[in-house]
Amino acid sequence: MYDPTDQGGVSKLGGADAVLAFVPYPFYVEHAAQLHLTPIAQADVVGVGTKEKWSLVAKTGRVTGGPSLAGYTIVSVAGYSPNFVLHSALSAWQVPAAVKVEPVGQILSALRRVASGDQAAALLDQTQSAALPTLPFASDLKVVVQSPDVPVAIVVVVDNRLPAARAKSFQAGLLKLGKGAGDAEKLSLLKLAGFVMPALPADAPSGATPGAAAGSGTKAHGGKAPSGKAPKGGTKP
Amino acid sequence: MNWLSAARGRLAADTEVTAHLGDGALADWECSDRVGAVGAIPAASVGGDRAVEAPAVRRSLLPLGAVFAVVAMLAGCATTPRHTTPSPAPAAGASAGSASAGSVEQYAAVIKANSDRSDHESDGRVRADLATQSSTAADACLALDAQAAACQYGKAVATGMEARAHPTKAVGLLNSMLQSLNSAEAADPNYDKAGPSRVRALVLIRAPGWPLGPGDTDAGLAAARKAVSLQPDYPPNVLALAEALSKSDDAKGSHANYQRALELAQAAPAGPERDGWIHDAQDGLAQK
Repeated sequence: MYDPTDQGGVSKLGGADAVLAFVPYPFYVEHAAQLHLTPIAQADVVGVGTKEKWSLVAKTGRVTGGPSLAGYTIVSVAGYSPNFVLHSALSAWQVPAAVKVEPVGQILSALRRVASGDQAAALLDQTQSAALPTLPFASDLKVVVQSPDVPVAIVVVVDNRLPAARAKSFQAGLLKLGKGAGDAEKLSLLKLAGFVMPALPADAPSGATPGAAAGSGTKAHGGKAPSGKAPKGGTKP
Repeated sequence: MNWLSAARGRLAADTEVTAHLGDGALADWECSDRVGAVGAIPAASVGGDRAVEAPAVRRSLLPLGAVFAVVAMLAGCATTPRHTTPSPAPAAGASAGSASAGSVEQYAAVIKANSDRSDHESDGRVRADLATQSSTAADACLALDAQAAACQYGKAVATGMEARAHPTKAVGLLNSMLQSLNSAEAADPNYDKAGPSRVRALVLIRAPGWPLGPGDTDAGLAAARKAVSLQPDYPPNVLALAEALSKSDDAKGSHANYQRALELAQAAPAGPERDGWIHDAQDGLAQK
């Protein structure tokens, strides 16, 4: 099943029959604790890699640091995950609490608004920020801060619904993807090069204990919902 | 808006995981410009060697699927939206796809007939053949009169069909399609009842947006407004404007235009085109 929306994804993964999911990292940050998500693999995306940097873009000369974002709205395709935007992507800045975060589907329209002087900044993924110079109004925009490296997308076990042995077998299969004859060509049609073991940032939220699904067999739903600063002690392989 | 995905992945959750890319008619998925995409694998599918739908992540990971999706929808939208009855192939002159001598009008008719037929064709090979035939006819048409709006418009439609048949080249082909539409519009903006603006609007509002494709909702809305300003009483133009407004989050404006399109369609002569317009308008009204 595929669901393009945040709430639709949450709803589907909340169902008892959902055991595995392939999610963008911002979705994981927002919902790992609530849905008890355990990463078992990290996507290697063609042209991007296994990790990416997000870039905050503002009208040239307007934004110089976290405090200067007061009164601004941050728009992004990841805007459905305020915790990702404010605490993962912009972890280097102290962003005023009043800053609004909004999801946008039309990032080009949003960038036009930013360039025209609206009180808005856009958080772009790596693909978008790399293409920034192609915009006719690129000279009106400036990257003001970049995120640390974060995963692009991850495969997770939902709520430990997959037995550990099964999860480990599935994980092993995922890690082999892209390495067989003809695999690369097939995967490239999905813009994927393969999968690697998950290597999440230190401040990534924890959903379930990582070994529970694909290794140690322990189970712990100790992660807190990432309200405010994402909790420490994130899920790691 | 539903999109047809070009790339269906399957994960066989046995000891090994294999990837398989299917073809043909594929899974529905939602418009590429929404966010937070999640692929979920049901429990019942993770066992044995049962294959399940592959999850997609978000649009930026699967641009080819999205690109294919738009060309799949665009293939039949040159003159009417999605619900049309295939036109019979032209009986004389330029036979479908042949480069034999014909008039501009005959070549244009061949392309339209192929496009209508392709829109209802489930066999990818047949669609590819129709696309090739249409491209041949369009090139022959342009050789006759490179400035004719009918030929430029036909070239745009044929290019859209090629894009559907060859999704890996779709982004480039969609850009070529837009160029042909610009040329057609320059030659005759009222051709096919403002077809160049209408089809350009549909490409721009349905295609994956920057930086993955030529999609641009703002420009699409402007093109739809232009089509309506040129031919305000033609239901497909009003439907395109309604869709563009919906994509621009103007629910009220979208609803008003779907309602107007419905009224215009109901006032049109009976026929499959009228039925399709009514269906599309009712679909749009039901979305709100």
